[in-house]
Amino acid sequence: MSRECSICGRRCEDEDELCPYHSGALENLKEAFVKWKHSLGVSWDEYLERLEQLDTVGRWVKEVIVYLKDREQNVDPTAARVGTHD
Amino acid sequence: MSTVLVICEKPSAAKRIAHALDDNGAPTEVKRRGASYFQCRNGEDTLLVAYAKGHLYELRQVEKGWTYPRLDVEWAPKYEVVKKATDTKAIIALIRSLAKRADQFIVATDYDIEGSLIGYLVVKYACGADPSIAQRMIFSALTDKELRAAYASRAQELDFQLVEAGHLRHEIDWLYGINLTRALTLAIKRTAGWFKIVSTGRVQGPTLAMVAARDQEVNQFVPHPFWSIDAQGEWDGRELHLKYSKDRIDTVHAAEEVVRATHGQVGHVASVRTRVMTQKPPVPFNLGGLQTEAYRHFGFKPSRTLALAQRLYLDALISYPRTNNQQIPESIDVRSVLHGLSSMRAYKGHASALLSRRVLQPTQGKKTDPAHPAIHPTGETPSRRLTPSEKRLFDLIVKRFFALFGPPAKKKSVRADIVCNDHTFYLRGREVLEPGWIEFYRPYVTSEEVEVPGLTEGDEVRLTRVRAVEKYTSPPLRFNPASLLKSLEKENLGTKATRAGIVDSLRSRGYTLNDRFELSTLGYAVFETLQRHVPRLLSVEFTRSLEEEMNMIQEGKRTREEVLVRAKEDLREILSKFKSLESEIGNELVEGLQRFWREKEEVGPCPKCDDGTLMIVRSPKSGKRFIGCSNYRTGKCDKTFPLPQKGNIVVLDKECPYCGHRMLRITSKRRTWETCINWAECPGRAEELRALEERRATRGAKG
Ligand SMILES: [Zn+2]
Repeated sequence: MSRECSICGRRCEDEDELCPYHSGALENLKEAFVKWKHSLGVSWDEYLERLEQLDTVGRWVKEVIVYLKDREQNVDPTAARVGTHD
Repeated sequence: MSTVLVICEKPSAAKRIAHALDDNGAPTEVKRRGASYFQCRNGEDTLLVAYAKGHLYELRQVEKGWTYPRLDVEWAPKYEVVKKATDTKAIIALIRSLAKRADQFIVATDYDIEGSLIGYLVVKYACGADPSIAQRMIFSALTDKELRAAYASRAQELDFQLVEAGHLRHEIDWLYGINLTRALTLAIKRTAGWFKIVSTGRVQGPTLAMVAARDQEVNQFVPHPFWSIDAQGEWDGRELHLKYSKDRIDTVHAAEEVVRATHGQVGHVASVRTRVMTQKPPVPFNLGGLQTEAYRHFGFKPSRTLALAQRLYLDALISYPRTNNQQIPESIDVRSVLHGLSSMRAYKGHASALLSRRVLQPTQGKKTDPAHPAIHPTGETPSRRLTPSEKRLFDLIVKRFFALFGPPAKKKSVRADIVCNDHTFYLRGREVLEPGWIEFYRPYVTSEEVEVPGLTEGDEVRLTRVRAVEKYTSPPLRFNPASLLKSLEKENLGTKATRAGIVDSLRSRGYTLNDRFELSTLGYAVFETLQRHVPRLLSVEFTRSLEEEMNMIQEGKRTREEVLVRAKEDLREILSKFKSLESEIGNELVEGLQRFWREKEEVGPCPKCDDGTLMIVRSPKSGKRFIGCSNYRTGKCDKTFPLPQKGNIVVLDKECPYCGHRMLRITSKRRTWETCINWAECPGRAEELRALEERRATRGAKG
């Protein structure tokens, strides 16, 4: 049996940590960051901060943001960070 | 001299038909043990006008047992299949005894698939007569004039193609609905031992898939920032609201550049262009068009609009509403309809204005329907007081009818371009030159006018204020009942008679949370399971191809047996696949259900203790519901919050702006409102309550 999504407990595909829904949300989050950086020149952290204030951000995207932040707090800061481009 | 049994669809239709066909317009109603019929004299003949109450016969499985597959069905009296339908017993008994006196049978039900099938089944089973000798009255409105004409020119044979199409539709919907629902439900039962009915159906599957796809888009949406320019100019001492040539600017840098280059500067009018457009009247209403418009203006759900329209039809005020037609055929005497409407005070003005024209040519739409014309008023005046909702729908139908005959509207639009340091701003004005049909369709159309000042080329405009406003892209819109219905229509799923019910069923089965069609965890569980194991049940193509074959029966291009054999084969294949995967499917549904119940009950972390979770629970003693902490059982925490006892509760993903507690949405029959769980003590809620009480007090004082 495949593993459970770290956010919602749904089944994941293969070795993913997140279910297809939350993986898709993470994918969109990364893609949109490219646009945000181009439009506003914000950093990844500023970007997440701002999205948390917006009502129209999808429910699963918000859950992914919380998950990323939690993970960052519990993870060795020298380790690679999930989600950041460059 | 004959005795003719006339079979109608509903009691109110029977009354109208009897009234129209009796030589003196005064039939006698004969009551018999819980049912009745109308006796009329028509020339030499005696007419016995009896009624059904919708379907009097229902399908049931031949072989017993709540299991699957069950692929053989038979018709049985409704009271034997649906326990609550006791009233059908007396009606069937009455028709049976009247049939013994009759030597002719006429079916006078609605002229559509359901109506034709109802009539056929009554002739065959209740009358015990050979359906091939029965005759058919065909009409599109319940006015005396139309009914008499329909009786005089009745068809010598039933519409067997419609009957066959209806018969097959019932069989296929029964086979798919019952077998698939049992397959899902039994998978859960055999996995976890619970009995929780989880349903799906032939059209419900693809509908669920459409809603799920949209819900996913919304849930995964990330907005992008963009900027728009908000500008004000001054010309000839007047203030002008200007628009920038691009509605979206992608970067903050570019937006600030526009402001830097133009704010406080002087621009010049580079061009002024004027265009005159004509706008044709809207097309006649078919059911879908009426449902969309009624939702837009009154917020009526499609199913409600259909029910209201049905009542107006039974009162002979409008023509038959379950039509796809967008055309008013020449056979309809529009002058006499307008004449009738002119006797109503509210419509006298418009009706008389139209009647004074020599030529009355309605606009026509594209869609046709051989059975019935587009929905239109009959010209009859209401014989009872209409409810406010009926009145609104009737008004919409009447005014749309008027508008069809109105001349095109003429509108003028002006655009002035103002250039300042290579940046273009513009000003657009709109003016109605001739309202034409708009006059007839108010208040359901607004002609927004924007004044155009008399700018000329070369004029100077000072840009007194130019600002960049940061905005964000919006998520796709969730479905509402009307837009979902429209999508079903576009995808050719279901029929005009069934779509509204399918839309409602998603909600009533707990698959969506509200009228915004947010999919619930249960909806997701069913969707995901089907998607993984039997994706064909969610496929629009599969459902639509069956739908097309069913339509071919109506056109006489296929027989019922051919299509039924194929559909059963497909179903048998799906069900055997289902059976082989039963435990896997069961496990997934059980997981999904557990998530659904957990989410439904979980409110969030307890504000009093460290590690408790607030849950919606019921007191075992009083049965009353409230919010309690999960640590209550261990005696560690006794935090509780009261809850309203009526209505459906949804825990929302947001906090109270006043006190920070979790918010709830409560939907009762009468209203929907949001409140925090701390409402009994929250300072913000106290304010709201006071405002509510004040409103009540002033209303009380007025009334
Ligand atoms: Zn997940």
